[in-house]
Amino acid sequence: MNGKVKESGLGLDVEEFKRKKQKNAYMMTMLSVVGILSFLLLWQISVSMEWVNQKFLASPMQVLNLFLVKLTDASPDGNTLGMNVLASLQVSLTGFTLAVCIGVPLGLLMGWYRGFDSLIRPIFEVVRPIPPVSWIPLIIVWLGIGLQAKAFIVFFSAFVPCVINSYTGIRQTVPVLINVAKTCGASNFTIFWKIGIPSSMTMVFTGIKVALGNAWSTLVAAEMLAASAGLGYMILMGRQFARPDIIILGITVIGAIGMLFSSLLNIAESKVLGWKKV
Amino acid sequence: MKKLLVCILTLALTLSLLTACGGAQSKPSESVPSEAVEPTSGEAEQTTKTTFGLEPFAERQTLRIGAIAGSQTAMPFIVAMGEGFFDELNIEVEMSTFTAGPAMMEANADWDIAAAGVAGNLVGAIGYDLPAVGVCDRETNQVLFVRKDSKIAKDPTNPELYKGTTWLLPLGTTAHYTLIKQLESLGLSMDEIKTVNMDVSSAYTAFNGGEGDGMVLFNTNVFIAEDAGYVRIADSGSLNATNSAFLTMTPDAIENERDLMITTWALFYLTADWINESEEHKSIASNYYLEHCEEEGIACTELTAMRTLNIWKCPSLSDSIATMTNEVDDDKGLFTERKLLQAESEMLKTMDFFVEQEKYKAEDRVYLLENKLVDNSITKDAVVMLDKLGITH
Repeated sequence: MNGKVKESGLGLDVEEFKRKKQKNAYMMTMLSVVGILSFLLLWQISVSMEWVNQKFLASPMQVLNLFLVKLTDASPDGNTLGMNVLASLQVSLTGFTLAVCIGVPLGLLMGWYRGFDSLIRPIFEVVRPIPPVSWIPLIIVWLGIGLQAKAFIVFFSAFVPCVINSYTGIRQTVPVLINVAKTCGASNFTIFWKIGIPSSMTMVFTGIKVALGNAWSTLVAAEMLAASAGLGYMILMGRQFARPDIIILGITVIGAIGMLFSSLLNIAESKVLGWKKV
Repeated sequence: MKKLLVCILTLALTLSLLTACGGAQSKPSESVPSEAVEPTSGEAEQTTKTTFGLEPFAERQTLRIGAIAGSQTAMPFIVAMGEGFFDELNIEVEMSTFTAGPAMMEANADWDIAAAGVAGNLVGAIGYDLPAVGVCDRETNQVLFVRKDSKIAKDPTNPELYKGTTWLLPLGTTAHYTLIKQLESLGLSMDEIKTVNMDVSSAYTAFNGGEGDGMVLFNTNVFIAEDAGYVRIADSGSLNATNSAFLTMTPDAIENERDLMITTWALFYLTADWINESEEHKSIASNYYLEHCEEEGIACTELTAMRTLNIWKCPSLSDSIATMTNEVDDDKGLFTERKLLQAESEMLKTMDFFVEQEKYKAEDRVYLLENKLVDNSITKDAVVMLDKLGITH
């Protein structure tokens, strides 16, 4: 057999299939890398050839150079890049974690218990379409200008997708499973805990991923409220001093951190929901 | 029934299309001139019909103005619009307002001429090659406030009291400049205090809510804070930190709408002189300013508007011409290729501070001067025009 497992009935070569799958994954990864490199190359060329005014768009090399400089240099915003990243992580992760901790259970409970849904849903539907930034004037009065105020804005943007996806996820629980559990004498809470929650997890994770994206995208708005450090603050200072390179660096770092966290979430999802792939 | 419905909907759609097309034919820029003036080719007749003797345009012109909402830097524009000075020159005005100078400079595709504080002017010049064409205010209204019960209020010259305090202000603006001037006067640096970047109205709200130990405000917020009982401990005037605000034009407007820009430049300063001519005119101007604030949702009262007018220090026409044509040496002795215009020197006073603070680079200073981003060509052409029309300056 030479290490190969042949399933003669189906005519499939499992090793060959795995190899092809790996090759395909490698090709896809390479395509992504080529896509990113081509984008960066085109960007660099368009700036170098002055198709775009350098005053409006810094080149990737300039941004890379600034990245290295900002690791130790605090000008013009008064903080090194590391200080700004840490400040933003504090704000975004506080808001995001709170949103997940409150939003997911709330969505699950609303989706499972009709009475709870009727109680909470009208309030949620009113609050849901409010843009997070519009809370700013009230937040200053209620929560001041510290971490809690900025985290609230992030929380609000991340909270909504957590609730909606958890709600939808648990509502899509297959009725057959529920009926089987009922037939076996399981209580409503047991069905909720052992069938409803696990079956909703795919949607819950999707909601968490959307929430993570929202949390980072609201960061600049949150740091517009009041800040003395952070990536959003750095972007605002770049605007204040006509430094597009600072703005692009801030945007790029936000994007990179967002991507990193998204990858971590994907790994967590595949660990938690590995059983679903069977 | 369906056919009837289709007919009604088709008719409605056709009518709406016709209405839309009809609307497009009457663009504001092509509208009929005001009845007050009937522009003809006879210059002498025209000049007698306008308030300042400026020559009306034969064809209706559209002027796009950028202004900071609630800022006194655009006062002559606001008054000229209200009094019909633009209209009598056959100029239709479209004013766009912004909350801050840098944002206005970014949106320079939406205006031809703008009035902003020097922080905005620097962003416009360095970031977008937008030349400053005249001084529109010499601001002394950047004010440091603390609470009544603050120790600083009792002894504002004691540097020890400032250490570790938190100040709310828009960083990178003239408010920032004023705060550092105050610290420098006490032998302190920014490292010895904490700052939180906020726009002035948010800073005031937060300070009201008990945040921070001090705040730095400008525009009408200053008077609101004073009236609320907060203690003024220093301002840009007392710290000799006057900031010149500038009129900025887009290169496109200078090149393609030159006559309109020259006339607008002259009208701006003639209106400023008109406002300062009498108490009655000041009162009229303050009413227009109040209306502007109300339209823009800026907290203002009649008294606040008058107080704003009293601290507004727009140079007169003759002073403006002098500022844009007088030559002086570079105070820092760094630029030796040519003498500087007085207006350039005024702009550099603030810019040099920002360079020292590493907010701008030394190359930016050179860029500003080498590219003549304080441009006096409009001033010179305006002088020629005023001479031709026999208007004293």
